[in-house]
Amino acid sequence: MISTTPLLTGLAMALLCIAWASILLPVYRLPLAARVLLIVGITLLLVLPVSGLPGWYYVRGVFGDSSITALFFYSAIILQQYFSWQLFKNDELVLLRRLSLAAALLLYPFALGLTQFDSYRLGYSNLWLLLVILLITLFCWLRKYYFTAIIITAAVIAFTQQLLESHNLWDYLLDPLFIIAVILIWIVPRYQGSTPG
Amino acid sequence: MKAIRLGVLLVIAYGFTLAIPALPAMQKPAFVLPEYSYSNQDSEPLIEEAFISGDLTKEVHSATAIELNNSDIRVFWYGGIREGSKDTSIYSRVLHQTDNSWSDIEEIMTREMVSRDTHRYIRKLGNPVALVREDEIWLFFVSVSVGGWAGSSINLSVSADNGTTWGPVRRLISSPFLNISTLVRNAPLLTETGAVMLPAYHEFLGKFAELLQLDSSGNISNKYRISHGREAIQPTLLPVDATHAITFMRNTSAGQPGKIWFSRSEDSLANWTPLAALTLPNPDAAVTAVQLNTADELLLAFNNHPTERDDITMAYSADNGATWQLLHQFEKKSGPGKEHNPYSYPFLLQTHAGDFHLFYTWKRKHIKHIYFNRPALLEMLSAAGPGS
Repeated sequence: MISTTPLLTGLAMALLCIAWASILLPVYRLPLAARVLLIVGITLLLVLPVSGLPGWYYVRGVFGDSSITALFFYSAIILQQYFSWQLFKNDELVLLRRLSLAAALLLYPFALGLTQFDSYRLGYSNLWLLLVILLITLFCWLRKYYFTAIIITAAVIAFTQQLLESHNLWDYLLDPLFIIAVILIWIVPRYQGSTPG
Repeated sequence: MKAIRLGVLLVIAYGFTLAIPALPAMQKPAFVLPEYSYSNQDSEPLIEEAFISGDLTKEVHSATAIELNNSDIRVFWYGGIREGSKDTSIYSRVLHQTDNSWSDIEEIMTREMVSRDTHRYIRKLGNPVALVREDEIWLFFVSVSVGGWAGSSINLSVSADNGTTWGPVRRLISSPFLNISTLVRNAPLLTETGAVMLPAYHEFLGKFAELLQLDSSGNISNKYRISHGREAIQPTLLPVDATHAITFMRNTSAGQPGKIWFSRSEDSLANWTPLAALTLPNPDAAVTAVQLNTADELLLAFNNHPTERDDITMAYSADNGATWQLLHQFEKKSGPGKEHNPYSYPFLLQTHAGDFHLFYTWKRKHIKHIYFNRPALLEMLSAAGPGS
């Protein structure tokens, strides 16, 4: 399990931090050696002990685990921003953004107590939710948005295998930091044309 | 390109073919109703009180208790330099029924232990609640990594030796928003299938009550929302029969002074009635309740004041909470110059023999324990006269 294996959990935290560094800073403008040094530096900060605990324990304490979708997304961001290798096109990013924001709007207000209806509850075992996700995935496949189709499917497989601490499908599909990352990439001008695709 | 297209389709087919049959089956919870022998009915009325939390920590708070399989009572609370300080740990001790003696106080859970097991920085611990499930004790408590109690998450540790040692701590994920702001305060219940119903509440953007359903492995498998908005927290759950349940809750609505909230479910927790106010006041404070020999008879301990936690009072209802009769005041308002909110977080436990143990926070300095047997309760009922 990702959540109970320190190495995998630490790796997931590293993906989060390295990707977020490139979301907050114009990493792609740095020379390759500086980018590699930045990755090494962030990794060291996460591994070295602070008050007896590895740095990534603090990151995890504050932000919790990233969703599977987010881990794939961060990997793609890292490949693009640090190594100029694009995994998906701009129009696929638009689709991913729309899907993520729609899911966030369906999930967070209700999960946080807005109404008696709790959309988070659907994530424990709801066939209809899974079928809707299947339809969205097939739509992505039909439109040749393979990256999105794959990361949604990966999230579903990870949920089936219970790879995270959570037993709720929503936690495999999205998380607040992922949503903020998607929004930032959308609204920050320097990402227009510099992000994957 | 065609190969990629086909490959992606195969991955999708594989993933969803795997997932759909693997969805856990949802079972409607049916409660196991507690049984009481009332073996002490012929004893003399007895009320005893004691401070039980010692002086290991400067402040203590939020005591709860369970009856072990050998009839001993194990109490849990948390303490530290201050309620929210970084040194809070979970403490416990046992009241032995054989000789009515207390064991030494043990620090059973520290933030270092929780940090080690959950691979996270942990700042403080609080609100322990426990359940005896077969030969195990399931201990739930909250931990905070950053910020105040609103940043809490729930943890679970299991003991297979009546609390002498504790297994690895597991984090329960109960909210999609960074998993913060889910807390526990009142006792969990068992269902016929062995699932655990854990009363929980949120106090971040919303302040609302819900029930978490845990399977026999301790994983959250479902949840039920009791209230929404910013009205009610800290539900105390009482089963009326296998599929009916009632709950009393702390009133957090802005329109203070408030009354204790009440809600009822008649369909295995799926739907809860809108919050209804009891006649009893609630100064935004925890309440606790137990059932007597019939599900309709209830005892409730609370602060009987609309704005201050300056008493601990017990009330009785013979009609499942519709009407209440004040029975006994264990703590009274101490007059001018009194401390702010000196008495809080009552927790009432009824043993299988029909005796009662009430625990509450006494001026944040002590956990006070009140023991009273059933004859003492009957005496209180007789002295209180007909209810209103």
